[in-house]
Amino acid sequence: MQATSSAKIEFHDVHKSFRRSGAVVEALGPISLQVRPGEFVALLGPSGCGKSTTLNMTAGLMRPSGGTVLFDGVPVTQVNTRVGYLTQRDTLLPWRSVAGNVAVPLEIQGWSGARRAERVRQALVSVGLADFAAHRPAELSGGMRRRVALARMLVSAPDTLLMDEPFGALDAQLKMVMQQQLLDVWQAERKTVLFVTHDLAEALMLADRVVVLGARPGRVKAAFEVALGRPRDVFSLQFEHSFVAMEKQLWELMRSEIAQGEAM
Amino acid sequence: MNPMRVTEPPILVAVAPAAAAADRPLLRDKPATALLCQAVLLFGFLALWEAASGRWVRAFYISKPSLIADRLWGWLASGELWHHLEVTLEETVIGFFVGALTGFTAGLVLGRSPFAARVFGPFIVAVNALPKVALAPLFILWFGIGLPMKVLLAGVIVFFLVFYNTFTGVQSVDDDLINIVRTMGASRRQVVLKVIIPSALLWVFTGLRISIPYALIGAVVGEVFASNAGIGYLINSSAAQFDTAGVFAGLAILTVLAACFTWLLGWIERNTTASRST
Ligand SMILES: Nc1ncnc2c1ncn2[C@@H]1O[C@H](COP(=O)(O)OP(=O)(O)OP(=O)(O)O)[C@@H](O)[C@H]1O
Ligand SMILES: [Mg+2]
Repeated sequence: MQATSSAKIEFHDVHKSFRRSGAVVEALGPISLQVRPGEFVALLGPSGCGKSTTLNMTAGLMRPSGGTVLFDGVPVTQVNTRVGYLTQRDTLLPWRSVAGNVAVPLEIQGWSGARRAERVRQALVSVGLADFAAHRPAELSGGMRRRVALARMLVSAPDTLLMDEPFGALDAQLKMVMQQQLLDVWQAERKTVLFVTHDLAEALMLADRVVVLGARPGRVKAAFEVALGRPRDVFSLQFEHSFVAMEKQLWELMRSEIAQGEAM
Repeated sequence: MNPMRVTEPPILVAVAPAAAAADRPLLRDKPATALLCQAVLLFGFLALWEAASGRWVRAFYISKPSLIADRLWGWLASGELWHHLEVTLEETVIGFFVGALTGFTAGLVLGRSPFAARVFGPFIVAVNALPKVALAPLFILWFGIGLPMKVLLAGVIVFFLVFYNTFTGVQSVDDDLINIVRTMGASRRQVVLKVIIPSALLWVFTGLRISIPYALIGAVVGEVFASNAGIGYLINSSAAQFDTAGVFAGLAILTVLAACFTWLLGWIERNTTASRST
Protein backbone atom coordinates (compact mmCIF):
# COMPACT_ATOMS: atom_id res chain seq x y z
CA MET A 1 0.00 0.00 0.00
CA GLN A 2 1.40 3.36 -0.97
CA ALA A 3 1.46 6.53 1.09
CA THR A 4 -2.13 7.48 1.51
CA SER A 5 -2.41 10.73 3.39
CA SER A 6 -2.92 12.74 0.21
CA ALA A 7 -5.73 10.65 -1.28
CA LYS A 8 -9.28 11.95 -1.53
CA ILE A 9 -10.95 8.57 -1.64
CA GLU A 10 -9.27 5.42 -0.40
CA PHE A 11 -10.42 1.83 -0.29
CA HIS A 12 -8.33 -0.50 1.85
CA ASP A 13 -9.09 -4.18 1.26
CA VAL A 14 -12.75 -3.36 1.08
CA HIS A 15 -15.18 -6.13 0.42
CA LYS A 16 -18.94 -6.19 0.51
CA SER A 17 -21.32 -9.09 0.77
CA PHE A 18 -25.09 -9.12 1.01
CA ARG A 19 -27.16 -11.54 2.99
CA ARG A 20 -30.30 -12.61 1.20
CA SER A 21 -32.54 -15.05 3.10
CA GLY A 22 -29.61 -17.01 4.50
CA ALA A 23 -27.50 -17.05 1.38
CA VAL A 24 -24.49 -14.73 1.25
CA VAL A 25 -23.80 -12.96 -2.03
CA GLU A 26 -20.25 -11.70 -2.44
CA ALA A 27 -20.77 -8.45 -4.29
CA LEU A 28 -17.39 -6.77 -4.32
CA GLY A 29 -13.74 -7.15 -3.65
CA PRO A 30 -11.66 -7.15 -1.68
CA ILE A 31 -10.43 -4.10 -3.52
CA SER A 32 -7.95 -1.36 -2.76
CA LEU A 33 -8.19 1.89 -4.59
CA GLN A 34 -6.92 5.44 -4.29
CA VAL A 35 -8.33 8.52 -5.91
CA ARG A 36 -6.22 11.67 -5.61
CA PRO A 37 -7.78 15.07 -5.08
CA GLY A 38 -8.78 16.50 -8.44
CA GLU A 39 -8.35 13.18 -10.18
CA PHE A 40 -10.91 11.87 -12.62
CA VAL A 41 -11.21 8.10 -12.27
CA ALA A 42 -13.47 5.94 -14.41
CA LEU A 43 -14.69 2.63 -13.04
CA LEU A 44 -15.30 0.03 -15.69
CA GLY A 45 -16.59 -3.48 -15.25
CA PRO A 46 -19.25 -6.03 -16.11
CA SER A 47 -22.78 -5.75 -14.81
CA GLY A 48 -23.16 -6.77 -11.18
CA CYS A 49 -19.47 -6.52 -10.32
CA GLY A 50 -20.05 -3.98 -7.57
CA LYS A 51 -19.54 -0.58 -9.20
CA SER A 52 -22.64 0.99 -7.70
CA THR A 53 -21.78 -0.66 -4.40
CA THR A 54 -18.41 1.08 -4.52
CA LEU A 55 -20.08 4.46 -4.95
CA ASN A 56 -22.62 3.70 -2.23
CA MET A 57 -19.84 2.96 0.21
CA THR A 58 -18.02 6.15 -0.76
CA ALA A 59 -21.22 8.09 -0.15
CA GLY A 60 -21.56 6.41 3.24
CA LEU A 61 -24.87 4.84 2.31
CA MET A 62 -23.47 1.33 2.74
CA ARG A 63 -20.90 -0.01 5.15
CA PRO A 64 -18.19 -2.29 3.89
CA SER A 65 -18.35 -5.87 5.17
CA GLY A 66 -14.61 -5.68 5.68
CA GLY A 67 -11.79 -3.20 5.20
CA THR A 68 -11.99 0.56 5.44
CA VAL A 69 -13.21 3.34 3.20
CA LEU A 70 -11.51 6.68 3.82
CA PHE A 71 -12.58 10.05 2.58
CA ASP A 72 -10.01 12.82 3.07
CA GLY A 73 -8.17 10.35 5.27
CA VAL A 74 -11.13 9.88 7.61
CA PRO A 75 -13.13 6.63 7.74
CA VAL A 76 -16.58 7.00 6.25
CA THR A 77 -18.88 5.95 9.07
CA GLN A 78 -21.98 7.96 8.24
CA VAL A 79 -23.56 9.57 5.24
CA ASN A 80 -20.90 11.47 3.35
CA THR A 81 -22.32 14.91 2.72
CA ARG A 82 -19.20 16.12 0.93
CA VAL A 83 -20.00 14.26 -2.25
CA GLY A 84 -22.44 14.94 -5.03
CA TYR A 85 -23.97 11.63 -6.03
CA LEU A 86 -25.68 10.97 -9.34
CA THR A 87 -27.22 7.57 -8.74
CA GLN A 88 -27.80 4.92 -11.34
CA ARG A 89 -31.48 4.84 -10.52
CA ASP A 90 -33.69 7.84 -10.96
CA THR A 91 -33.90 9.66 -7.63
CA LEU A 92 -35.69 12.87 -8.53
CA LEU A 93 -38.55 13.73 -6.21
CA PRO A 94 -41.58 13.00 -8.40
CA TRP A 95 -43.89 15.49 -6.68
CA ARG A 96 -41.54 18.40 -7.27
CA SER A 97 -41.06 20.33 -10.47
CA VAL A 98 -37.73 20.24 -12.30
CA ALA A 99 -36.75 23.57 -10.73
CA GLY A 100 -37.98 22.35 -7.35
CA ASN A 101 -35.78 19.28 -7.62
CA VAL A 102 -32.67 21.23 -8.53
CA ALA A 103 -33.40 23.56 -5.61
CA VAL A 104 -33.34 20.80 -2.98
CA PRO A 105 -29.60 20.93 -2.13
CA LEU A 106 -29.75 24.73 -1.93
CA GLU A 107 -32.81 24.61 0.33
CA ILE A 108 -30.94 22.25 2.61
CA GLN A 109 -27.97 24.60 2.65
CA GLY A 110 -30.30 27.44 3.57
CA TRP A 111 -29.98 29.63 0.47
CA SER A 112 -32.43 32.52 0.36
CA GLY A 113 -35.31 32.30 -2.11
CA ALA A 114 -34.10 34.83 -4.65
CA ARG A 115 -30.49 33.63 -4.78
CA ARG A 116 -31.71 30.07 -4.98
CA ALA A 117 -34.03 30.76 -7.88
CA GLU A 118 -31.26 32.45 -9.82
CA ARG A 119 -28.80 29.62 -9.17
CA VAL A 120 -31.38 27.03 -10.17
CA ARG A 121 -32.11 28.91 -13.37
CA GLN A 122 -28.42 28.96 -14.28
CA ALA A 123 -28.09 25.27 -13.55
CA LEU A 124 -31.05 24.45 -15.77
CA VAL A 125 -29.69 26.61 -18.57
CA SER A 126 -26.40 24.75 -18.34
CA VAL A 127 -28.09 21.40 -18.97
CA GLY A 128 -30.38 22.88 -21.62
CA LEU A 129 -33.61 22.47 -19.68
CA ALA A 130 -34.50 26.08 -18.89
CA ASP A 131 -37.82 25.67 -20.69
CA PHE A 132 -38.81 22.72 -18.53
CA ALA A 133 -38.39 24.33 -15.13
CA ALA A 134 -42.07 23.92 -14.24
CA HIS A 135 -42.44 20.36 -15.53
CA ARG A 136 -42.68 17.30 -13.33
CA PRO A 137 -40.06 14.56 -13.73
CA ALA A 138 -42.76 12.20 -15.02
CA GLU A 139 -43.31 14.54 -17.93
CA LEU A 140 -39.69 14.31 -19.06
CA SER A 141 -37.81 11.73 -21.08
CA GLY A 142 -35.27 9.48 -19.38
CA GLY A 143 -32.39 11.50 -20.79
CA MET A 144 -33.93 14.76 -19.64
CA ARG A 145 -34.37 13.37 -16.13
CA ARG A 146 -30.70 12.41 -16.15
CA ARG A 147 -29.78 15.99 -16.99
CA VAL A 148 -31.99 17.31 -14.18
CA ALA A 149 -30.23 14.96 -11.78
CA LEU A 150 -26.90 16.22 -13.13
CA ALA A 151 -27.96 19.83 -12.57
CA ARG A 152 -29.11 18.94 -9.08
CA MET A 153 -25.75 17.36 -8.31
CA LEU A 154 -23.71 20.28 -9.65
CA VAL A 155 -25.82 23.09 -8.23
CA SER A 156 -24.39 22.83 -4.74
CA ALA A 157 -20.81 22.61 -6.07
CA PRO A 158 -19.57 19.56 -4.13
CA ASP A 159 -15.83 18.98 -4.47
CA THR A 160 -16.24 15.28 -5.17
CA LEU A 161 -18.60 13.79 -7.74
CA LEU A 162 -19.84 10.21 -7.73
CA MET A 163 -21.48 9.48 -11.03
CA ASP A 164 -23.13 6.18 -11.88
CA GLU A 165 -23.57 5.82 -15.62
CA PRO A 166 -24.77 9.39 -15.91
CA PHE A 167 -24.93 9.53 -19.69
CA GLY A 168 -26.09 6.01 -20.50
CA ALA A 169 -29.61 7.09 -21.42
CA LEU A 170 -28.60 9.92 -23.71
CA ASP A 171 -28.39 9.87 -27.49
CA ALA A 172 -24.90 9.96 -28.98
CA GLN A 173 -24.96 13.64 -29.78
CA LEU A 174 -26.31 14.86 -26.46
CA LYS A 175 -23.99 12.46 -24.70
CA MET A 176 -21.03 14.26 -26.22
CA VAL A 177 -22.39 17.65 -25.29
CA MET A 178 -22.80 16.53 -21.69
CA GLN A 179 -19.41 14.84 -21.60
CA GLN A 180 -17.79 18.02 -22.85
CA GLN A 181 -19.68 20.01 -20.26
CA LEU A 182 -18.51 17.73 -17.50
CA LEU A 183 -14.94 18.03 -18.74
CA ASP A 184 -15.24 21.81 -18.74
CA VAL A 185 -16.54 21.82 -15.20
CA TRP A 186 -13.76 19.51 -14.17
CA GLN A 187 -11.13 21.60 -15.97
CA ALA A 188 -12.32 24.76 -14.25
CA GLU A 189 -12.89 23.42 -10.77
CA ARG A 190 -10.70 20.32 -10.56
CA LYS A 191 -13.24 18.24 -8.75
CA THR A 192 -12.46 14.70 -7.76
CA VAL A 193 -14.61 12.40 -9.86
CA LEU A 194 -15.40 8.73 -9.54
CA PHE A 195 -17.26 7.88 -12.69
CA VAL A 196 -18.94 4.53 -13.38
CA THR A 197 -19.55 3.58 -16.97
CA HIS A 198 -20.01 0.62 -19.27
CA ASP A 199 -18.69 2.62 -22.15
CA LEU A 200 -15.00 2.09 -22.74
CA ALA A 201 -14.57 5.07 -25.06
CA GLU A 202 -16.34 7.31 -22.58
CA ALA A 203 -14.03 6.17 -19.81
CA LEU A 204 -10.94 7.03 -21.88
CA MET A 205 -12.40 10.26 -23.12
CA LEU A 206 -13.04 11.63 -19.65
CA ALA A 207 -10.75 10.03 -17.13
CA ASP A 208 -7.18 10.36 -15.99
CA ARG A 209 -7.23 6.73 -14.98
CA VAL A 210 -9.49 3.84 -15.86
CA VAL A 211 -9.92 1.16 -13.21
CA VAL A 212 -11.20 -2.13 -14.59
CA LEU A 213 -13.08 -4.48 -12.29
CA GLY A 214 -13.59 -8.18 -12.98
CA ALA A 215 -16.82 -10.14 -12.81
CA ARG A 216 -18.66 -10.39 -9.48
CA PRO A 217 -17.30 -10.20 -6.85
CA GLY A 218 -15.43 -7.37 -8.55
CA ARG A 219 -11.71 -6.96 -7.99
CA VAL A 220 -9.37 -4.50 -9.61
CA LYS A 221 -8.21 -6.33 -12.73
CA ALA A 222 -6.27 -3.49 -14.24
CA ALA A 223 -5.62 0.20 -13.87
CA PHE A 224 -4.98 2.13 -17.03
CA GLU A 225 -3.40 5.58 -17.03
CA VAL A 226 -4.93 7.66 -19.80
CA ALA A 227 -2.05 9.49 -21.40
CA LEU A 228 -4.12 12.12 -23.16
CA GLY A 229 -3.50 15.82 -22.70
CA ARG A 230 -5.84 18.30 -21.11
CA PRO A 231 -8.00 20.14 -21.76
CA ARG A 232 -9.73 17.64 -23.98
CA ASP A 233 -12.25 18.06 -26.71
CA VAL A 234 -14.49 15.04 -27.02
CA PHE A 235 -15.61 15.88 -30.55
CA SER A 236 -12.17 15.80 -32.09
CA LEU A 237 -10.64 13.34 -29.65
CA GLN A 238 -12.66 10.41 -30.88
CA PHE A 239 -11.00 10.53 -34.29
CA GLU A 240 -7.45 11.06 -33.11
CA HIS A 241 -5.03 8.25 -33.73
CA SER A 242 -3.66 8.30 -30.22
CA PHE A 243 -7.18 7.88 -28.86
CA VAL A 244 -8.11 5.08 -31.21
CA ALA A 245 -4.85 3.30 -30.44
CA MET A 246 -5.48 3.66 -26.75
CA GLU A 247 -8.98 2.31 -27.09
CA LYS A 248 -7.61 -0.74 -28.84
CA GLN A 249 -4.98 -1.15 -26.16
CA LEU A 250 -7.59 -1.02 -23.40
CA TRP A 251 -9.80 -3.53 -25.19
CA GLU A 252 -6.90 -5.92 -25.44
CA LEU A 253 -6.02 -5.44 -21.82
CA MET A 254 -9.58 -6.18 -20.81
CA ARG A 255 -9.87 -9.17 -23.07
CA SER A 256 -6.90 -10.76 -21.44
CA GLU A 257 -7.96 -9.78 -17.94
CA ILE A 258 -11.57 -10.75 -18.15
CA ALA A 259 -11.38 -14.06 -19.86
CA GLN A 260 -15.02 -14.87 -19.18
CA GLY A 261 -16.06 -12.24 -21.67
CA GLU A 262 -18.81 -10.91 -19.44
CA ALA A 263 -21.25 -8.54 -21.12
CA MET A 264 -19.92 -5.03 -20.91
CA MET B 1 -28.73 1.26 -4.19
CA ASN B 2 -30.88 0.14 -1.38
CA PRO B 3 -28.81 -0.03 1.75
CA MET B 4 -29.89 -0.39 5.34
CA ARG B 5 -33.44 -1.13 4.39
CA VAL B 6 -35.41 -2.61 7.22
CA THR B 7 -38.38 -4.25 5.66
CA GLU B 8 -41.28 -4.16 8.02
CA PRO B 9 -44.51 -5.67 6.76
CA PRO B 10 -47.39 -3.30 7.30
CA ILE B 11 -49.26 -4.29 10.45
CA LEU B 12 -52.55 -4.16 8.67
CA VAL B 13 -53.54 -3.64 5.10
CA ALA B 14 -54.21 0.01 4.47
CA VAL B 15 -56.36 1.33 1.69
CA ALA B 16 -54.23 2.11 -1.33
CA PRO B 17 -54.52 5.51 -2.94
CA ALA B 18 -56.69 5.45 -6.02
CA ALA B 19 -56.18 8.94 -7.33
CA ALA B 20 -56.54 8.09 -10.99
CA ALA B 21 -59.85 6.33 -10.63
CA ALA B 22 -61.32 8.99 -8.37
CA ASP B 23 -61.38 11.82 -10.85
CA ARG B 24 -62.41 9.84 -13.87
CA PRO B 25 -66.03 10.65 -14.64
CA LEU B 26 -68.35 7.77 -15.27
CA LEU B 27 -69.34 8.84 -18.72
CA ARG B 28 -66.51 11.10 -19.65
CA ASP B 29 -67.58 12.02 -23.15
CA LYS B 30 -71.29 12.50 -22.38
CA PRO B 31 -71.58 14.27 -19.04
CA ALA B 32 -74.89 15.90 -19.97
CA THR B 33 -76.46 12.59 -20.93
CA ALA B 34 -75.24 11.03 -17.72
CA LEU B 35 -76.72 13.87 -15.70
CA LEU B 36 -80.03 13.45 -17.46
CA CYS B 37 -80.03 9.72 -16.77
CA GLN B 38 -79.31 10.38 -13.12
CA ALA B 39 -82.17 12.89 -12.85
CA VAL B 40 -84.60 10.53 -14.54
CA LEU B 41 -83.52 7.70 -12.27
CA LEU B 42 -83.90 9.81 -9.14
CA PHE B 43 -87.31 11.22 -10.01
CA GLY B 44 -88.51 7.88 -11.28
CA PHE B 45 -87.52 6.33 -7.99
CA LEU B 46 -89.21 9.07 -5.94
CA ALA B 47 -92.39 8.82 -8.04
CA LEU B 48 -92.48 5.04 -7.64
CA TRP B 49 -91.96 5.45 -3.91
CA GLU B 50 -94.75 8.00 -3.67
CA ALA B 51 -97.08 5.74 -5.64
CA ALA B 52 -96.17 2.58 -3.74
CA SER B 53 -96.59 4.10 -0.31
CA GLY B 54 -99.97 3.27 1.17
CA ARG B 55 -100.93 1.37 -1.96
CA TRP B 56 -98.61 -1.64 -2.13
CA VAL B 57 -96.60 -1.11 1.03
CA ARG B 58 -97.87 0.22 4.32
CA ALA B 59 -96.93 3.89 4.72
CA PHE B 60 -95.83 3.13 8.26
CA TYR B 61 -92.83 1.27 6.88
CA ILE B 62 -91.68 3.44 4.06
CA SER B 63 -93.45 6.74 4.58
CA LYS B 64 -93.53 8.75 1.34
CA PRO B 65 -91.35 11.44 -0.30
CA SER B 66 -93.96 14.17 0.02
CA LEU B 67 -94.27 13.54 3.75
CA ILE B 68 -90.51 13.47 4.17
CA ALA B 69 -90.15 16.75 2.29
CA ASP B 70 -92.86 18.14 4.52
CA ARG B 71 -90.99 17.08 7.61
CA LEU B 72 -87.73 18.54 6.30
CA TRP B 73 -89.51 21.79 5.56
CA GLY B 74 -90.96 21.85 9.05
CA TRP B 75 -87.53 21.42 10.65
CA LEU B 76 -86.09 24.02 8.36
CA ALA B 77 -88.82 26.56 9.11
CA SER B 78 -88.60 26.08 12.87
CA GLY B 79 -84.81 26.42 12.84
CA GLU B 80 -84.58 23.00 14.53
CA LEU B 81 -82.64 21.59 11.59
CA TRP B 82 -79.81 24.09 11.91
CA HIS B 83 -79.42 23.47 15.58
CA HIS B 84 -79.15 19.70 15.20
CA LEU B 85 -77.01 20.00 12.10
CA GLU B 86 -74.63 22.28 13.93
CA VAL B 87 -74.28 19.83 16.82
CA THR B 88 -73.57 16.87 14.55
CA LEU B 89 -71.22 18.91 12.42
CA GLU B 90 -69.29 20.10 15.43
CA GLU B 91 -68.85 16.59 16.81
CA THR B 92 -67.84 15.23 13.43
CA VAL B 93 -65.38 17.96 12.59
CA ILE B 94 -63.69 18.05 15.99
CA GLY B 95 -63.59 14.25 16.13
CA PHE B 96 -62.19 14.13 12.64
CA PHE B 97 -59.39 16.58 13.35
CA VAL B 98 -58.49 15.03 16.69
CA GLY B 99 -58.37 11.56 15.14
CA ALA B 100 -56.61 12.70 11.98
CA LEU B 101 -53.92 14.63 13.80
CA THR B 102 -53.14 11.90 16.32
CA GLY B 103 -53.39 9.18 13.67
CA PHE B 104 -51.07 11.04 11.32
CA THR B 105 -48.51 11.68 14.05
CA ALA B 106 -48.58 8.10 15.29
CA GLY B 107 -48.32 6.76 11.74
CA LEU B 108 -45.36 9.01 10.99
CA VAL B 109 -43.47 8.09 14.15
CA LEU B 110 -44.11 4.36 13.97
CA GLY B 111 -43.58 4.26 10.23
CA ARG B 112 -40.09 5.68 10.64
CA SER B 113 -39.15 3.59 13.64
CA PRO B 114 -39.09 -0.15 12.96
CA PHE B 115 -38.44 -0.80 16.63
CA ALA B 116 -41.44 1.19 17.84
CA ALA B 117 -43.54 -0.44 15.14
CA ARG B 118 -42.49 -3.87 16.37
CA VAL B 119 -43.19 -3.01 20.01
CA PHE B 120 -46.54 -1.29 19.54
CA GLY B 121 -47.71 -3.26 16.51
CA PRO B 122 -49.55 -6.11 18.29
CA PHE B 123 -51.32 -3.75 20.67
CA ILE B 124 -52.50 -1.55 17.87
CA VAL B 125 -53.76 -4.54 15.93
CA ALA B 126 -55.61 -5.79 19.00
CA VAL B 127 -57.27 -2.47 19.75
CA ASN B 128 -58.10 -1.95 16.11
CA ALA B 129 -59.85 -5.32 15.93
CA LEU B 130 -62.31 -4.06 18.51
CA PRO B 131 -65.51 -2.68 16.93
CA LYS B 132 -65.07 0.94 17.95
CA VAL B 133 -68.77 1.69 18.40
CA ALA B 134 -68.79 -0.80 21.26
CA LEU B 135 -66.75 1.76 23.17
CA ALA B 136 -69.73 4.12 23.26
CA PRO B 137 -71.10 2.95 26.63
CA LEU B 138 -67.66 3.32 28.18
CA PHE B 139 -67.28 6.83 26.82
CA ILE B 140 -70.75 7.68 28.18
CA LEU B 141 -69.61 6.53 31.60
CA TRP B 142 -66.52 8.70 31.32
CA PHE B 143 -67.88 11.84 29.72
CA GLY B 144 -71.66 11.74 30.00
CA ILE B 145 -73.87 12.28 26.96
CA GLY B 146 -72.44 15.62 25.82
CA LEU B 147 -70.11 16.55 22.99
CA PRO B 148 -66.83 14.98 24.26
CA MET B 149 -68.20 11.45 24.09
CA LYS B 150 -69.16 11.80 20.41
CA VAL B 151 -65.90 13.51 19.59
CA LEU B 152 -64.00 10.67 21.16
CA LEU B 153 -66.02 8.02 19.37
CA ALA B 154 -65.54 9.70 16.01
CA GLY B 155 -61.90 10.43 16.85
CA VAL B 156 -61.04 6.83 17.73
CA ILE B 157 -62.43 5.53 14.45
CA VAL B 158 -60.67 8.20 12.41
CA PHE B 159 -57.44 7.66 14.30
CA PHE B 160 -57.04 4.08 13.16
CA LEU B 161 -57.92 4.75 9.55
CA VAL B 162 -55.52 7.67 9.26
CA PHE B 163 -52.90 5.86 11.30
CA TYR B 164 -52.76 2.81 9.04
CA ASN B 165 -52.65 4.81 5.88
CA THR B 166 -49.96 7.16 7.12
CA PHE B 167 -47.99 4.22 8.49
CA THR B 168 -48.12 2.37 5.18
CA GLY B 169 -47.38 5.52 3.21
CA VAL B 170 -44.35 6.33 5.33
CA GLN B 171 -43.06 2.78 5.07
CA SER B 172 -43.38 2.74 1.32
CA VAL B 173 -41.23 5.83 0.85
CA ASP B 174 -38.42 5.03 -1.55
CA ASP B 175 -35.22 4.66 0.50
CA ASP B 176 -33.15 5.85 -2.44
CA LEU B 177 -34.91 9.21 -2.28
CA ILE B 178 -34.18 9.48 1.42
CA ASN B 179 -30.55 8.53 0.88
CA ILE B 180 -29.86 10.96 -1.91
CA VAL B 181 -31.30 13.82 0.14
CA ARG B 182 -29.16 12.74 3.08
CA THR B 183 -26.01 12.98 0.95
CA MET B 184 -27.05 16.58 0.30
CA GLY B 185 -26.69 17.17 4.04
CA ALA B 186 -30.34 17.01 5.05
CA SER B 187 -31.08 16.76 8.76
CA ARG B 188 -33.59 14.22 10.04
CA ARG B 189 -36.19 16.95 10.17
CA GLN B 190 -35.48 17.98 6.59
CA VAL B 191 -35.73 14.38 5.44
CA VAL B 192 -39.15 14.13 7.07
CA LEU B 193 -40.37 17.43 5.67
CA LYS B 194 -38.89 17.20 2.19
CA VAL B 195 -39.18 13.51 1.40
CA ILE B 196 -41.22 11.42 3.80
CA ILE B 197 -44.30 13.58 4.28
CA PRO B 198 -44.69 14.66 0.64
CA SER B 199 -44.13 11.09 -0.50
CA ALA B 200 -46.67 9.68 1.98
CA LEU B 201 -49.18 12.46 1.35
CA LEU B 202 -51.18 10.55 -1.23
CA TRP B 203 -51.65 7.74 1.28
CA VAL B 204 -52.50 10.19 4.03
CA PHE B 205 -55.11 11.88 1.87
CA THR B 206 -56.65 8.54 1.04
CA GLY B 207 -56.83 7.82 4.76
CA LEU B 208 -58.43 11.19 5.41
CA ARG B 209 -60.96 10.78 2.64
CA ILE B 210 -62.11 7.32 3.66
CA SER B 211 -62.34 8.41 7.29
CA ILE B 212 -64.68 11.34 6.66
CA PRO B 213 -67.83 9.22 6.46
CA TYR B 214 -66.57 7.26 9.47
CA ALA B 215 -66.23 10.43 11.53
CA LEU B 216 -69.88 11.04 10.77
CA ILE B 217 -70.70 7.45 11.72
CA GLY B 218 -68.93 7.88 15.05
CA ALA B 219 -70.78 11.08 15.85
CA VAL B 220 -74.18 9.78 14.75
CA VAL B 221 -73.81 6.45 16.54
CA GLY B 222 -72.89 8.38 19.65
CA GLU B 223 -76.02 10.47 19.25
CA VAL B 224 -78.22 7.48 18.69
CA PHE B 225 -76.80 5.89 21.85
CA ALA B 226 -77.45 8.82 24.13
CA SER B 227 -77.94 12.50 23.44
CA ASN B 228 -80.36 15.37 23.38
CA ALA B 229 -79.28 16.97 20.12
CA GLY B 230 -77.87 16.18 16.67
CA ILE B 231 -79.13 14.43 13.56
CA GLY B 232 -78.71 11.05 15.23
CA TYR B 233 -80.91 12.26 18.05
CA LEU B 234 -83.45 13.51 15.51
CA ILE B 235 -83.58 10.10 13.85
CA ASN B 236 -83.75 8.26 17.13
CA SER B 237 -86.49 10.41 18.63
CA SER B 238 -88.50 10.27 15.38
CA ALA B 239 -88.30 6.50 15.50
CA ALA B 240 -89.34 6.50 19.14
CA GLN B 241 -92.47 8.38 18.10
CA PHE B 242 -93.09 5.98 15.18
CA ASP B 243 -92.50 8.90 12.82
CA THR B 244 -91.11 7.10 9.76
CA ALA B 245 -91.02 10.29 7.70
CA GLY B 246 -88.85 11.90 10.37
CA VAL B 247 -86.43 8.96 10.25
CA PHE B 248 -86.12 9.20 6.49
CA ALA B 249 -85.72 12.96 6.68
CA GLY B 250 -82.86 12.51 9.12
CA LEU B 251 -81.24 9.95 6.83
CA ALA B 252 -81.58 12.31 3.87
CA ILE B 253 -79.81 15.04 5.82
CA LEU B 254 -76.99 12.64 6.70
CA THR B 255 -76.58 11.60 3.08
CA VAL B 256 -76.26 15.20 1.94
CA LEU B 257 -73.86 15.93 4.77
CA ALA B 258 -71.61 12.98 3.93
CA ALA B 259 -71.59 13.90 0.25
CA CYS B 260 -70.61 17.48 1.10
CA PHE B 261 -67.71 16.26 3.21
CA THR B 262 -66.39 13.96 0.53
CA TRP B 263 -66.65 16.66 -2.08
CA LEU B 264 -64.85 19.09 0.20
CA LEU B 265 -61.89 16.81 0.72
CA GLY B 266 -61.68 16.06 -2.98
CA TRP B 267 -61.50 19.79 -3.58
CA ILE B 268 -58.78 20.28 -0.97
CA GLU B 269 -56.81 17.36 -2.35
CA ARG B 270 -56.93 18.65 -5.91
CA ASN B 271 -55.81 22.08 -4.83
CA THR B 272 -52.97 20.99 -2.60
CA THR B 273 -51.47 18.62 -5.15
CA ALA B 274 -51.67 21.34 -7.79
CA SER B 275 -49.91 23.92 -5.63
CA ARG B 276 -47.10 21.60 -4.57
CA SER B 277 -45.15 22.53 -7.66
CA THR B 278 -41.96 24.02 -6.26
N1 LIG C 1 -29.08 -3.89 -1.56
C1 LIG C 1 -28.63 -5.05 -2.03
N2 LIG C 1 -29.03 -6.22 -1.49
C2 LIG C 1 -28.59 -7.39 -1.95
N3 LIG C 1 -27.71 -7.51 -2.95
C3 LIG C 1 -27.26 -6.40 -3.55
C4 LIG C 1 -27.69 -5.11 -3.12
N4 LIG C 1 -27.09 -4.19 -3.89
C5 LIG C 1 -26.32 -4.87 -4.75
N5 LIG C 1 -26.41 -6.20 -4.54
C6 LIG C 1 -25.69 -7.24 -5.27
O1 LIG C 1 -24.34 -6.83 -5.33
C7 LIG C 1 -23.80 -7.08 -6.60
C8 LIG C 1 -23.20 -5.82 -7.12
O2 LIG C 1 -24.21 -4.86 -7.32
P1 LIG C 1 -23.93 -3.44 -7.96
O3 LIG C 1 -25.22 -2.74 -8.02
O4 LIG C 1 -22.85 -2.76 -7.21
O5 LIG C 1 -23.43 -3.82 -9.42
P2 LIG C 1 -22.97 -2.87 -10.61
O6 LIG C 1 -21.55 -3.15 -10.87
O7 LIG C 1 -23.33 -1.47 -10.30
O8 LIG C 1 -23.83 -3.42 -11.80
P3 LIG C 1 -24.50 -2.62 -13.01
O9 LIG C 1 -23.43 -2.29 -13.96
O10 LIG C 1 -25.47 -3.60 -13.59
O11 LIG C 1 -25.17 -1.44 -12.42
C9 LIG C 1 -24.92 -7.63 -7.45
O12 LIG C 1 -24.71 -8.99 -7.62
C10 LIG C 1 -26.16 -7.38 -6.67
O13 LIG C 1 -27.03 -8.47 -6.80
MG1 LIG D 1 -24.69 -0.23 -10.96
